[in-house]
Amino acid sequence: MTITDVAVPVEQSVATELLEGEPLPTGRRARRLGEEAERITTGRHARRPIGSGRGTAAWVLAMVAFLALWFALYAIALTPFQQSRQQAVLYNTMREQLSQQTAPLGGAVKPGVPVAVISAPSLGLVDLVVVEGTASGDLMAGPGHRRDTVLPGQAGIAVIYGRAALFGAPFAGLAAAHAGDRLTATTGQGVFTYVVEDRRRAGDHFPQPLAADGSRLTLASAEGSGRFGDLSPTETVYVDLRLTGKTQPSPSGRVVQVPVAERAMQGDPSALLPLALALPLLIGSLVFVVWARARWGLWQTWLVGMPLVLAALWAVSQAAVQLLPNLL
Amino acid sequence: MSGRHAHRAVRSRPHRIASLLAALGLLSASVALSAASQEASAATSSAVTVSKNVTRTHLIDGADVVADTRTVTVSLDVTKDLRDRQPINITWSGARPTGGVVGDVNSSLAAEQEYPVVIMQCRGVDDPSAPTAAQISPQTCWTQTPTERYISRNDDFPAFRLDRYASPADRVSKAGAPSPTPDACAGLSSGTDHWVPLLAADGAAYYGGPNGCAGLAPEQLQIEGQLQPSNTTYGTTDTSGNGAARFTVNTSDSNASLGCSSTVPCTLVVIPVMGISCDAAGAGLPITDQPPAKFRALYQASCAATGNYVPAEQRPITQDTEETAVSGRLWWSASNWRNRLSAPLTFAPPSDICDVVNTQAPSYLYGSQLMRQATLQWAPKFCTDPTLFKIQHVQTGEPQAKNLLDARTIEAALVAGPPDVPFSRPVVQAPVAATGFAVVFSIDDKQGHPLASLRLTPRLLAKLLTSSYASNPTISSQYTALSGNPLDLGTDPEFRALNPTTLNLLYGTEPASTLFTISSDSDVISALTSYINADPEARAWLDGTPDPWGMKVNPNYKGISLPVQGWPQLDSYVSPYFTVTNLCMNGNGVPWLPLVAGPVSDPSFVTLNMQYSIANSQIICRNPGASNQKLVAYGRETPGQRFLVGLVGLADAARYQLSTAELQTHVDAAAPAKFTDGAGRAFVGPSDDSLRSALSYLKPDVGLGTWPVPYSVLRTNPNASSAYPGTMLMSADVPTSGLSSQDASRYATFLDFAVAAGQTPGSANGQLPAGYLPLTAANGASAFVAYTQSAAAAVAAQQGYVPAVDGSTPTPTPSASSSASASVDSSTPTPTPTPTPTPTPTPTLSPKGTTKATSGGAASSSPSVAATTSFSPVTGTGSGSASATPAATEATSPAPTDVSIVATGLTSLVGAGPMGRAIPGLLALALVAGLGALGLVLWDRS
Repeated sequence: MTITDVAVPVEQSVATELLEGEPLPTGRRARRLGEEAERITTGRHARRPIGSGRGTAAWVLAMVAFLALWFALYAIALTPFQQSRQQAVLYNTMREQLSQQTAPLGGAVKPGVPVAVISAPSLGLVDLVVVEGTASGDLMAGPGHRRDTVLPGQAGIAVIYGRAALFGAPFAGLAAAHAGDRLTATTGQGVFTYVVEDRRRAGDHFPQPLAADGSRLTLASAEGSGRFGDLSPTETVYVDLRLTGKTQPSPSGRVVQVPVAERAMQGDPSALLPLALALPLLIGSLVFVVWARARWGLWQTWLVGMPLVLAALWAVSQAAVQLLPNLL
Repeated sequence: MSGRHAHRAVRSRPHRIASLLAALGLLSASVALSAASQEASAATSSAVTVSKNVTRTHLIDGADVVADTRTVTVSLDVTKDLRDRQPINITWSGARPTGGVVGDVNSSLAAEQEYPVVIMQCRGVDDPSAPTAAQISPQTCWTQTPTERYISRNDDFPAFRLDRYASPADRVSKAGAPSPTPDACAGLSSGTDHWVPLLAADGAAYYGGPNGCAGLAPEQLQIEGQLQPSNTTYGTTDTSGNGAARFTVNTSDSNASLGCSSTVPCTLVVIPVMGISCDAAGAGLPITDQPPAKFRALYQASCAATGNYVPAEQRPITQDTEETAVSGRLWWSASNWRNRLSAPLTFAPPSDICDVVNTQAPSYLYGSQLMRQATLQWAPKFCTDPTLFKIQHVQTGEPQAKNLLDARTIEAALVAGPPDVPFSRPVVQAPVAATGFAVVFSIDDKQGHPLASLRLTPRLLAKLLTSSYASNPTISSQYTALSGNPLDLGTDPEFRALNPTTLNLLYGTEPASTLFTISSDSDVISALTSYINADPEARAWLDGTPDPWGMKVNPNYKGISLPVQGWPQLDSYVSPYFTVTNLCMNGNGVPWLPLVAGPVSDPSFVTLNMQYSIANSQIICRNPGASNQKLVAYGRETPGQRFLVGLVGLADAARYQLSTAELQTHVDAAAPAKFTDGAGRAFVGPSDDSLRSALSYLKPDVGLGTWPVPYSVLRTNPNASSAYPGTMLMSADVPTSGLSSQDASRYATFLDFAVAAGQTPGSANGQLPAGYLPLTAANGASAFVAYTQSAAAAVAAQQGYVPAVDGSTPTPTPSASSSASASVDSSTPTPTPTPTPTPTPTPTLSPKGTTKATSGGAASSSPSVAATTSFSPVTGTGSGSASATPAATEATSPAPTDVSIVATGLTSLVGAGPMGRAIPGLLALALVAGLGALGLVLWDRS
């Protein structure tokens, strides 16, 4: 084909625009038309068509960067909102259950059910609701009570896991614990006061054995070192607290052994399922955006597509974050 | 040579000194032993004999007229250290023969005999110099029904109003009546009354009266029930003036209103009723209390009457014709009361003394009722000694105690045999007592006297247990499987052949067709069924072979596999006749034969029923037709017409003086199968000799960890024909690991005591009661004693070591593997589970928890067995168990070791792995990818 053949319809459109008895174009429209004409006529700056290798690669990298950035942003900035909302709901539930004395007392409790409220200002914990279960998904709502241990206030050792980086990082302050700090735990059996005995890491000795009717609470979380230590706590840290006061009886029926996903620093591989379900949502919303952009204007597409894509991204991120270690 | 002699000469001097010391030691030991034995023998001989001259002297026209005078001598066989429900055997001579004899001497009807010998238990002392409140009087003597202390006659001057020895207050028309008259008694009594209120230990006065209207003490009854009879005995004297009775004392445990105990003295009072000494004139009394002059002679004659019955004549059932003046109902009258003979009684400390004296948490021993009598005497010794501790025996079935011990719910069990499934933890079975089971019986002969001995074979016991007797003619005619069988044991030809005494055939056949025993699981049932199973004749009969007289086993029990721990009630025959005629069963027929068997769950209840001959067959319908109708027990059998057989422990049989049967041991090969007497068959009853003989056949079994009783050897070995086959060796099972140091040392102390000081026979605290064979070298029990002592050491050490019963394993050195459940972690750097393992859960809140609360909280100076709780710290990677069971401890024992610092394990390393660095990684990725995309775009544009 010749250039003239190609150029004719454009000239015609420009000519048509100018020849329809309109006043001469001014301002932005004039600039645009001028640029267009210039672009068409000067072949050196002709627009390269989509589909070349480098463009694709750039797009892919950009997409990757965007997704990674989004996920990091989600983890750092958005998950605290999710957790605080969960905590508010759980706190109301716990208040109601405590007032009606229907709070769980131990034994077999479903994961996700709130079981206690802990408060330790010196550790940075203010009225945190502890849920049952320590899988990554459970710890998204706040600290989690390990299911094969007793509840706080009962004779024996109670273990509570909490996150140190994401989802509000409730247990980020454990590293600053000192012996003698107090923690108050409220369960369906009453209010118990614990005193910090020691903080230990890998290689430290366990505390002295419990008296037969003693109770210990162990808070487990993670801590990191280095420049990005706050974002990547990779070592576990424990704080042992001793009950001051009398213990309550503990019902039977407790889980004997928790699955691997509920142990320390374990991701929850079962989150792959919701991830697999959320990914098609994301892809579907992206496809919708592309489809809509071809038919609608930019702002319309933005208005409709942005919340859809954001929601799908959020769902994917929420599923994906459960694959990360639960104490993170 | 000379060197050797010189050596001997040098050695001889110290050798001589040593032998001299040894001789002195022996001498002092023998003196001490003889003193102790004298003390023990002095303690046991608390028999008392009293004698008195009793008279009946009338006052006629101011002059004494002796109507009757006798010298009565009464003997009691035991009066000291009495325990609740303990029988005292009383004999007397020289009393006036009784007329109008009633068979049941404990019933209130027996009070209406003429000239009985009234035996009762009274609170107080019979000492005129004691304060009045502490003396006995008719008001402090116990009778169960109000008719025994209240009498009313329509005469103006019945005999009791003319008693010359009575005080003027007692000779009024309504003597002793409560004032004001209670409403319930209004109009009930007319004529002349005499009331004797019952003064309870707490000071309350119960007047009783007609139909008990003025109030009865809680233990009194208006109508005698079918349960425990009163102990007030109206003994019968025969024509030669002799009589005997068995009197059961009650302490405050079973009769709080009478209130006798180790701190409240009581007296046994024997009143040989001689009749009222009459004084018809009543000189010196107010006019209203004097009979009118014209009737004086008439009243004198009727008061001085000597009785309507011929001596030893039986009382007819319906008539009420005894002569009041000489009736037993007037035991309280001054004439009879002054003729009393009395003996003071002292009681052993009550069974709940430990709860009062010592408020510590006890060390519990769960287990066999056979040990109950021993622990009743051992426990007060422990709790009253401030250097010792409190022990408490919780009566539990032995199989259940073994299960609880294995499940770690309890810490010590008293059992009689090894568990079916070996213990899953190291448990030592230490012998502590030798006793056994006994078949006790209460059977009267044709004269109404109880049989003194009984012989039983295992086949007879099998017949009783398997409901193979028809029990009554209706069942016999309707239940075809049992139609050819005898009705009950008494009519079984096999029983008649061995026990030819003619029986009183008026006994109830249902209770006589079963062996009264327990329904719960017990080692006693295991032992009994093992004994039955070892007899070829009994085994063949159970497998279906009829016995030589044609009796067949109940088909529901045919071929039953023995031994069993709990005897099952397998018969299911519902009688259509009884379902209609017995209103309690009307419409809901239940199998009849299990009702006849009527087993109970508590062995102590069997003992109680056998003591008072109460049959437990649940076949009587109470309140038939009413809305509250129910089947109740057959009840107390009438003395003189009893036939009951039951299974109890030897200690119970000895304490309550139950008659024990002789069991068959060995059968000669030449003995006939269809026998007419016991020829060729050996029968052995329980005694020290027969238990000792049985103990000699016990061989240690290393696999079982104890000495099982070899029933087949006892049956087949002709030399074992004098060994009692019901012998059982009681063991204390205590674990040798997992106990706290304080509990371990306490149980070790108990074991050491049980085989040493606890085997001294006697009735004082800490001694061994009757019914147990002392485990001494003289009784061939030195192997048991030695084993228990080494078991005590193993329990104290808590190293998990169980000595072998045949002494074959050596004692380990103390540095052997500790008993603490430390398990080495085989962790890898990749996430290992349980950085903070959980403690050992106890399935229930055992009493152990409370014991520890009191002992573990304070920094007690418990004897230092703390060596067992220290362990070498596990190197490197910590001590969480890879299997992450809750039993993986933090390498600590569950015991409180509050004094010593314990070396604990190390926290293991749990890393997050590469996923832990996800966020910075993502940020880096975003940075890199963004830069890359930007670079590509710029490069593209340029």
